[in-house]
Amino acid sequence: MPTRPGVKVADRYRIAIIGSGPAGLSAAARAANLGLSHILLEKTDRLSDTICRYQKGKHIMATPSQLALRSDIPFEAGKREKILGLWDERTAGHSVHVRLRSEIVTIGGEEGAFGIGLADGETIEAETIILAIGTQGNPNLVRCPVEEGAAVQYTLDDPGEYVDEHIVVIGGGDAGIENALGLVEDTEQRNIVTLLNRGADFPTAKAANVKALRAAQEDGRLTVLGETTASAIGKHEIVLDTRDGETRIRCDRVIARMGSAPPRAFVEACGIEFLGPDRTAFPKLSPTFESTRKGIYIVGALAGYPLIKHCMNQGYDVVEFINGNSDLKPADEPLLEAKFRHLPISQPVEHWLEYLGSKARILQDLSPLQMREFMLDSEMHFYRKGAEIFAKNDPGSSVFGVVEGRVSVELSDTDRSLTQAIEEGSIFGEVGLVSGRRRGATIRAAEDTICIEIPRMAMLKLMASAPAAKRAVTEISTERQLLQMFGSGLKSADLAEVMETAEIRDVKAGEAIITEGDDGIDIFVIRSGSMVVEKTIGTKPVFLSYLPAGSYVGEMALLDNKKRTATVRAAIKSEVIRIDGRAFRALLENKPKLLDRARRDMAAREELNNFIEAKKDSFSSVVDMYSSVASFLIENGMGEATDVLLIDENLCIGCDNCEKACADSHDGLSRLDREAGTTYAHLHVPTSCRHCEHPHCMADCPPNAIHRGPDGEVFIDETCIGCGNCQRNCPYDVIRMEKVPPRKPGLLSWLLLGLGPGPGEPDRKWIDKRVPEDTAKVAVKCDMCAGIRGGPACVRACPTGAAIRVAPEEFLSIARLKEDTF
Amino acid sequence: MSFTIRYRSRSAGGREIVRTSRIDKDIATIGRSPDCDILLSDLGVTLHHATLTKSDTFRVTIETDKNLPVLVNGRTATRADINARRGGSIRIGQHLLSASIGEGEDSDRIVISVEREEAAGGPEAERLFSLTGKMPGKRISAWVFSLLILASCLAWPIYSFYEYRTTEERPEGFHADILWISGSMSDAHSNLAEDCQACHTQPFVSVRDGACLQCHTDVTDHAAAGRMASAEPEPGRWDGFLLAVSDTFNRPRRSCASCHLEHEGSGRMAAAPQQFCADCHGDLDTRLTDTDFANAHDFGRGHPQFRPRVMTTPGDLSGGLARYRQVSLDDNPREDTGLKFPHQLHLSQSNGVARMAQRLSAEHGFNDALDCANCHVPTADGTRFEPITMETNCQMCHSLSFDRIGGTIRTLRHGEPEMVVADIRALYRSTGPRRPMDFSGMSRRRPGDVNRARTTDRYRFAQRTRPGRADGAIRAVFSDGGACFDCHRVERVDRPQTPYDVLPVRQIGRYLHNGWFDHGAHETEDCGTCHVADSSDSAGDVLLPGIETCRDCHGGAQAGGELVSSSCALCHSYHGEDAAPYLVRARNVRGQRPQQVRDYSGLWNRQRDRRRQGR
Amino acid sequence: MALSDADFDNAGRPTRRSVRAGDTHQSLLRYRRMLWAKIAFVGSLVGIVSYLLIDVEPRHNGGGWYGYTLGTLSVLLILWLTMLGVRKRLMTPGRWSLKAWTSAHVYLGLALVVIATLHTGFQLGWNVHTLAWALMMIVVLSGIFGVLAYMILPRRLGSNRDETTEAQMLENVADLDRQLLDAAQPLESDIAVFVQKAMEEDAFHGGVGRRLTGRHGGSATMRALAEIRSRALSGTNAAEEIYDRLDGLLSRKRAALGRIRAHLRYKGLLQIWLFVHVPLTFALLAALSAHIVSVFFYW
Repeated sequence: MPTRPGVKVADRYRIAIIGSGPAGLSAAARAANLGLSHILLEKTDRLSDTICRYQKGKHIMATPSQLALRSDIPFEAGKREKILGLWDERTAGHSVHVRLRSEIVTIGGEEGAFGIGLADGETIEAETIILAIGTQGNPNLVRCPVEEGAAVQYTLDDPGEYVDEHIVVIGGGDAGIENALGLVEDTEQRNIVTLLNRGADFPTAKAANVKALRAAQEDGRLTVLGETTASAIGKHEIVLDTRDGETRIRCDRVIARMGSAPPRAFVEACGIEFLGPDRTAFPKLSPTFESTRKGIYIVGALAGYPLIKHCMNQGYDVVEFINGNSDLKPADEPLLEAKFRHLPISQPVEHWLEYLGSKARILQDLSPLQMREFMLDSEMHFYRKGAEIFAKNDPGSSVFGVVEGRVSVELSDTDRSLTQAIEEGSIFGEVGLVSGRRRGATIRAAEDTICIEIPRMAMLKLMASAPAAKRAVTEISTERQLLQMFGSGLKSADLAEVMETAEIRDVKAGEAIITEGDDGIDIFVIRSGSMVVEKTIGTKPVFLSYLPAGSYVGEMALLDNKKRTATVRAAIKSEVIRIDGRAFRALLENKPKLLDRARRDMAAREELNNFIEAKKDSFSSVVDMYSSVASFLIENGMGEATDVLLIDENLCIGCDNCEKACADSHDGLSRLDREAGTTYAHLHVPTSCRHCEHPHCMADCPPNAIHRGPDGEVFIDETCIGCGNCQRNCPYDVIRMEKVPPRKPGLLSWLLLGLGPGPGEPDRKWIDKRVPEDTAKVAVKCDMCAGIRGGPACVRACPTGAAIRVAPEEFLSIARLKEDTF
Repeated sequence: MSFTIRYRSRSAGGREIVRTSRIDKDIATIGRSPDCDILLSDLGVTLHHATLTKSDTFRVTIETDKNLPVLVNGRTATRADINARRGGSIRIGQHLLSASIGEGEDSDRIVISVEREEAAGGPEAERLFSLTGKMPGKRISAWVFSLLILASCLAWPIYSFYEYRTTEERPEGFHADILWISGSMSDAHSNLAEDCQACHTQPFVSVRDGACLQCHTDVTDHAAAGRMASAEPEPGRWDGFLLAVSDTFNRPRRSCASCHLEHEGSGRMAAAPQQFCADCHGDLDTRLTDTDFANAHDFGRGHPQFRPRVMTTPGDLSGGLARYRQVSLDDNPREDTGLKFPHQLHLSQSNGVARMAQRLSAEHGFNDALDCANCHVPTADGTRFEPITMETNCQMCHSLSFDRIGGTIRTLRHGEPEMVVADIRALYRSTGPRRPMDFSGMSRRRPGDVNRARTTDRYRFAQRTRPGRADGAIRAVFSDGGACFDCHRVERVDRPQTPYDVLPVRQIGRYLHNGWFDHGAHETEDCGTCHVADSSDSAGDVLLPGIETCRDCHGGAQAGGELVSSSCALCHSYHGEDAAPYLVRARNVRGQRPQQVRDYSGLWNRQRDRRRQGR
Repeated sequence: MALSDADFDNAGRPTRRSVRAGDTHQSLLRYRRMLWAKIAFVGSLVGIVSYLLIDVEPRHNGGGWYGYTLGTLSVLLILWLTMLGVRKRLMTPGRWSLKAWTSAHVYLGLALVVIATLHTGFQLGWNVHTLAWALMMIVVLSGIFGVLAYMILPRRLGSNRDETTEAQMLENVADLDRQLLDAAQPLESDIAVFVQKAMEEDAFHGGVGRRLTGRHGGSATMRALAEIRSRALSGTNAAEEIYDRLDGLLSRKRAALGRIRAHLRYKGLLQIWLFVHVPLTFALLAALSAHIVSVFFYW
C-alpha cells in the first residue's frame, strides 16, 4: 500500500531519525521528499538545539567551501537566526514528521523492527534508525530532588533577560563561570547570583575566567561558594550542603552547568563498537554509514564530521543508501577524485583510501569515513626523482607521509650529497606540528615518490582521534629532535639505546626539572615550552639564562660528575624528553664529536656561572635588578615568546603613536593596547602578541586561519570566521574581535581640514556609523607587521625610542647587565 | 486600590527594565529613606521629600515637605494637582515622575512611572584626558595665525603697492608695504622710506637705474659703456657663477644699485669698496691697451706718481693758446706760466724784500718777511687758492708810478703796454727842461761873454732835444731793470709806435685733474711741509709734492696706525663730475657741493679782447 | 635521521632580521650615538665660522650670495622639520624609524636657530622678515620645552599611573561614586548635599591653568570629608559606621582624584607645548612665504 509521509505503517516507521541537528534535519527532509515514512525525534523542545545555543547573531560559516551541498534543506553562511529560521520553515515545508521532547533511553530489537524507548515511557517502532545525536551528549542533570515548578535550566541563552532574580549557578567550569559573570555584568539588572563549585578552586576553568570571577567576588557582585553542592531545590530557595553544614539561600532559578556526558556510553549501550578506547575515538562505520549494529546508521559529528555541510550531505546520503540507492557516491567524491587525479596510478577513490591506510603508518585503523574526511583536508603529491619537496626555512606546518617511494633529507646546506633517507610509510615535516616553526631542512624525492601532505589542523585531529597515529608521531619526532639537537652526523641507529631510556615528561609551569645541589646526571631536552636557569646566590635565586625549546640541559653534571650547579625550572607549561645519563654517557663515549660540542655548550654556560659568581658581591644589586626584571618578563609570557613588544616607561610619553601606527598599517584596527599590561622597573609589557612558541590561539581555530609566518610571527589570515575561539584561548588577551572599519579620508584632508577620524583607530562611534550592524567581526592580533617593509610599525613609529621589540634570548642575555639604556 | 509605581531603567544593553510595585493606599510618600513608598535614591532628594495624595480616580495632589519646591509640569511648586488622565510630570532631583491612568489590571489605579535621567555620557576617555577642548585646537589656530599673517604681511602690502601704482607720489602716512622694509634707509634717502615705489617701481623687477636718475640727474658716466665693458676683468668661475645666478634672477649688471646698497641701516651710505675700483684699474692696461691711466689698486701699495698738468707755454702774442702737458713729477717737470717769480727771493727773511715788507708791514699787515699767505688767499671752500693779481698781490711793492702832478701820482697802466708807451711819451712832450737864472756860469769866472753864451747854448740844446728823451725812458721801462721786464717776458715787435709787447701770463687753477686735493683739509700743515717754495729761485719749478710726501700721512685703504686710511674715493670720484670726491664731500657738511672751480688761464686775453672790441 | 648542527642554533627560529637601528633600545637623544647632534653641531659651527670669515660689504645681511645661501638652507630645513608632522602620521612601509626622524628633528631644529639667525645678519626690525625669525625662535623654544618634558616627565607619568589605564581610573571614580550614593542614602539631606557635591566632583573640571599646575583649590570631596569627620566626632552611634564608611570612600575618592589629576598634569605638560609649537609652525610657514615673496616683489 502506498505510504504517505509521516504516517505509521503498522505502527512502524521506515526510518527513525534521532537528533534534529543539521544531519538529522537533512535526513528527515530527504526521507520526507522520498515519501518514506519517517519520524524525527528531538530531545529538546526545538529543532537543532545545539545551533540554537550558539551566541546570538553568531555568524555561521559554510566550510569546506569547495564541498557541494547536497540536501533538501538550504544552507549558506549567515547569521544563526537566519539559518535556523530557514530550516524551521523548510522542515515544515517538506512536512517532516517531527516529535519534540522525546529523549531516547533504549534501542531494542534489530533491523526491521527496532523498538525505541523514550524517556516518557512510550516506544516507537522503526525499521532503520539514523543516529544523528552529535557529540554534545546530554548535560549532566542535577541529582538532588527538585520541587515541582522550580526553575532549573541547563543552558543560558541570554543573560540579559533575567532581572531582580536570585540565581544559583552550579558548576565551576568555564560555562558556569561565564554564565554567572554574564548575569551580574549589568548591575542595573540587580540579579543576585551565587556560584556553586564542588571543589575549592577551578582546575578546569580558564585562568582568565577565574581571574574575572575572583574580581567580581571582590567587588561583591556575586558570591562564590566553594566545596558546596545543592542538596535540594525548591521554588524559591535552594538547600546547600557546604563544608560547614547545611544552609538555605533564596533562589528563584538554578542554572546547572555541570558538563555533559559524551553520548558514547549510550551509543555503546546500543551495541555499537568504537574504533578505539580513548574518549575521542569514533564509532566503526561502513562506507554507507552503517554501524556495527545492522540497521543503525550514524551520521554527523558523532560519525566524525563536525562541519554542518558534511552533516547535511550525510543526512541526505544515508537516507539514499537506506532507500537502496547503493551506487550513490558521497558528495565529496568529486573532490577526492580531483585530489588523486594527477597521480601516476589511476584507481577509484575507495581503493586509494584503502591503499593509503595500508601504506602510511599513521593512517592505519582509520575508518573509510574518517579517511574520506581526512583526505578532504589533505593533498596528494607526486614528485619526480630529485624534485624538491620543501626547502630549509620554508614556512609551513604541514606533515608529509611517504606513501610510495623514498625521500632524502639534506643534512648540510653546503654539501648536498650528505643525505639521510626517509623510508616508505614514514612521515616528515612533523617539527612544524610541535612548534609551527619553519622547515628545518631541505627534503627531496630520492626516487619517484607519492606523498600525502597533511595540514597541521588535520594532523592534530588525526592524532586526537587515532591513538596509533599519535604514538607514531611522538616516537618519530622525539627521535628526530634528539638527532637534530646533537647533530654531529648522528644516525638513528646510534640513538637506539638512548631512545629506550627516553621518556617524555610534561612539566607544569614553575616546576623544577633540575635542582641545584642534587646529584643526578640525566639530560633533559626541552621539546616544547621553555625553561629558566636559576642559581641561588645568598638566599634569593638569580636568573641565569633562558632555554628555548629545542635546547638541552643537564650535561654539566654528566660531563664532570659534579652536583647540579643550577636549578632549571619551567617558565611555562613545557614538555621535556628525559634521557638517562648513563645511556647518554655511553653515547658520548663512542661519539667524540658529540662530546666536543657538548663541552662547547657547557663552556658557554660555565662562563655565565662564573660571571654571576664574580659579580654577585661587586654589584649584586644590578644582578638582582636584572634577575628580578628577567623573572618578571618570564611571568609575562616572555618565556614562550619569540618576539615581544616592550615599552620603556622612562621614555614613553604616552602619545600612543604605536597604537595609531599599528592601526594605520593594518586596516584601521590596532592590535596593541599600550596602556594596559603590567610594568616592572620601568619596563612595560603592553598587551600585544608575544607570538608564543606554541600559540594558544592556534589550538582551536575551525578554519585553521592562524599560522606562523616566516619570521616566526603568528598571524590570522583572511579566512577567519570570527568565532572568537582564539580570543578566548589567548591567556594574554591580545586578540580582539572587531569589525573592520571602512577606509578613512586621506591624511592630508585630516591634517588640513580635519576630515575623518584622523590617524589611528577610529573611535567606535565613527565605525558603527559606517559599518552595517550585521557585519561579521574578525579576530585581529599582532602579526609583527609581516610583509610590511621595514618591520613592526609600532617600533618604527615610536618617536622617543621607548618601544622595542625583542626576542627573549636577546633581552635575557647577561649582556643586558652591562648595557645601560638611557 | 490606588497607586502603581513603575521604576523604569535601562540595562547597559539598552533593554528597558521595568520594576513594578503597587501601593494600596491613597497616600504615597516620596523620598530617599527606605520607608518611603516611592524610593528615589538620589542625594538631591530629602529622606521624606513629598507626598502624593489621590483625591479621586484620576486626580493626584503632590505636596512637598518643608516646602521644598519641585517642578510640576515644568513649574516650581510646593503643592500641585495633577490630572492623571491628561498626564503630568513631577521632577524631583534627577528623577522624573509621570502620572497616568493605568490600564488592564491597573485600570483603577494611577500609574506613577519613575525614571532617572542618566547624565549624558561625557566625552570618551581619549578626549577627557587630552588637552583637546581645554585649548584652542591646533588646526584652527594654525589656520587663523597663517591667514592673519598672509593677509596682513602679504596681501595688504601688495594691495598698497597697486593702490599707488599710478600715482606720482604717495601721500604721507602709513603704507602697508613698509612691513616689507628690509632695513632702515640711509640718511640721504630717508625721505623715501615711506614710499617704496619711489625705487621699486616694477613688481618682481629689481631696482633699475631709471629710478635713481630721476633725482640724480647730473650724474655722468664713469666712462663710455663700451670701454667700461672691455675694461672689466673676465669674471672667474665663482664670480661667473654668481653673475649667472643674478642674471637668472634678472639683476642688471653695473647698475647703480650694484654699488650703492640701500637698506643697510641709517647713517650715510657706505662708499663702494676700493676693490670695486681695483678690479678694473688694478691691471687696466692689460685690457685697455690704449689707456693712459696707469694701473692703481691701492694708494699705499700700488699707485702711480702724480702726473700734474703743467703749462709748457703760456701762449704767444699772436693769440695762440697756452699749451699744457701732463707729466709725472718723477721726471721733474718745468712749467712756464710767462711770469718771472722766484719764490726764494720773496720768501727770504733778510733781503731787501724782507726789509720792504717790514717797512710796509704797518700798511699791509706783513710780518718781518713775506710768507705764502700774503699772496695766496684760499678760495671760499678752502679747497684751492684765489688767483694772483698785480693789483692785489704785487703792486704794493712793485709800484708803477712815474709822475706826480700836484698831489696825485700817475701810474703806468698794468697789462696794457700801448698805454704805458703813450703815457711816457706824453710826459716828455708836455714838459721842457728847467731854465737857468742867467745864462752866465754860476762859478767865479773870468769876465767875458763866453760863459753866457755856453749856458745859453746848453739850454737851447736841451730845449731842442727834450722830446727825443722819451724813447730812452720807454726803452728803459721795457728793458732789463725796467718795471715790466722784472716780472714779465718782453719782446720787441716792429710796431712804430710801440716796439715792445709783453707775453701773456696764465695761472694754473688745478694741477691734478683726475685727483682731488683739498687744501682746506690740510690746514693743520705748513705750506712748507709739502711745497718747497723757499728754495725755489725760478718760477719754472713745479712746486707740487710727490706721492711719497702724501704717503707720509696717507696709507692705502687698509692702512692703520699713524697713517690715514685712504681708499680711492678719498681723492677720486667715480662719476667724472668735477667736484670733490664722495668721501671728501661726506666729510664736509652733507649735501653742500663745492662750486665749480674757475680756470684762471687767459685772464690777460680776456682783458685785451675787451679792449680790442673797444676799438 | 640527522640534521646539521646549524639547525641547533636556529631550527627555524625567527630570524632577527627585524632588528634594525630603530629597534635598538636607546632614546631619541642618543640615537646612533647622537649622530644628529654631531651633524647639527658641525653644521652650525661651519655657519658661524664662515660668517666670521666671509666679509660681506658693507655688512652682513640676508642678501648677497652668502645671505641667500643661508636663507635657502633655513627654508629647506624648516620645510623638512615641518614634515615630521606628516611622517609621524603617515605609516608608510619602509625602513624608516620615527625615532631617527625625531632625533634629527630635535638637533637640526637647534641648528636652525644658528643658521637662520646668521641669515638675519642681526638686522632686526619691525618687519615681516623679523616676524618670521621671531616665530621661528618661539617655535624652537617651545620645542626645547617639549624635549625637556619628554626627558623628565615620562618617569613620573609611568610611576603615577602604575599600571592603571585611563579607562580604569575613570571606572574607579565612577565605582566610588556609586558606592557613595548607596552609602549616603540614609543621610539627612543637609549633609547628603555635601556627599552629593563630592560625587559630582570630577578631575577634569577647570581650565588649562589648573591642569598644568595641578592646583585644584577647594575640592568638594575634601569639604565633604571634613564635614563627615567633624560630625563623626560629635556623631551619634547610630550613624557611626555610615560615617566611617563614607570617610573611607571619600578618602579613596580623594586619592583617586589625586592620581587622575597628577596624570592629567603630566599629560598636560607633555602636550601643552604642542599647542604652541604646531600652530606657530604654520604661522611661521605663512610668514616665511610672505618674507620670500616680499623679497622678490621688491627685488
